[in-house]
Amino acid sequence: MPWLLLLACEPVSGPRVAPFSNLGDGGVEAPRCVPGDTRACRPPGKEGLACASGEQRCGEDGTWGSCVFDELPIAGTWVLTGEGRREACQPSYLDAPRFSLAATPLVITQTSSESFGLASPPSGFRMVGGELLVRCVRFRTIEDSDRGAITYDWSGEIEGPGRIEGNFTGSGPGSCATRGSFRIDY
Amino acid sequence: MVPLKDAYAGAQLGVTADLGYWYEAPHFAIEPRVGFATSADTTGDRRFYEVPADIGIFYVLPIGNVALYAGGGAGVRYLYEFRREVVTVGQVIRTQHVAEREDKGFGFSAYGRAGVMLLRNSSLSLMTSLGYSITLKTINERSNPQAVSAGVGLVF
Repeated sequence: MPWLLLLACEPVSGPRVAPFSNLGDGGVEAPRCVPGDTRACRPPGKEGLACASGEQRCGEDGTWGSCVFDELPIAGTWVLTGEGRREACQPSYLDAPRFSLAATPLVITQTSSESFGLASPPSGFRMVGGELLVRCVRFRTIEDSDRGAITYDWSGEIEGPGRIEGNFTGSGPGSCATRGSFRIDY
Repeated sequence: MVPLKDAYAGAQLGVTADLGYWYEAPHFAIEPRVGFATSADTTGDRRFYEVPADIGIFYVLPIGNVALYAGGGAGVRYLYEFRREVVTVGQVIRTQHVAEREDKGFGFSAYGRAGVMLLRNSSLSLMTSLGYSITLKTINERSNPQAVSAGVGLVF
């Protein structure tokens, strides 16, 4: 179940500090807003992340309020599916104009508000760099295989409670290059 | 012939034709041989062909108008196979696709064969056989294809 996080003027916890000021560069007061108006906003440091958007509402005093966004839990048992293509492989029969993708269920724990990882990694498999930025989810998986390591970089967005969708790129085994789309249900 | 252990493209059955020279002494025979084998289904997802060239030596036990024989030989074989199969990459994160795989090449081979020769006193004898063969070759990542075979031949 999602919950709503309203960021105050002081840090709530760690890096999730996102009060938005009406002051522009040099301390000049920004234009006042019309009470009741809303606009998209992004927490500081996450301006480049499309999936890290929240909403700001103009208060009765004509100033923009805090950036409000849903924070969705990410822990649980992930069921990962997807499809993609693989090329440049040796041997060439590993090339696939289209493949289907599925994974052993992965038990994910959230180690902080912005990071997560595998609770108990299967043998020869690891997840690194699990990062959660508002609704953006990024992580890397590395799996050892008898043909060599297989690395995937996953980048997705929480599309709703218990659902992540996005794209991945990968390399390996050997010279293979992979890309595709995925969905995680949890 | 019946391929063993997913050999010969994983085909279930093959057919063979051999041409050999059977030189027989009182208690043994020598047979240089060439042949051709292919999958029974030559248009399916699992096809192969094989060209053996080998020489064998056999112990021959005459019993009246028949003779038992057993022996083996060695040689070289050319092997080609085609497989259309599902390829899985990865164990935890698994991708699957249908791949068409071809491979071919030469390998040293050995075989054993035993059987019965009938109508030995006729100008046209009948020969039955049961055999086993192995080729020292890795093809489509399967090592050393093996097969058993049963056959009937004419000796003239």
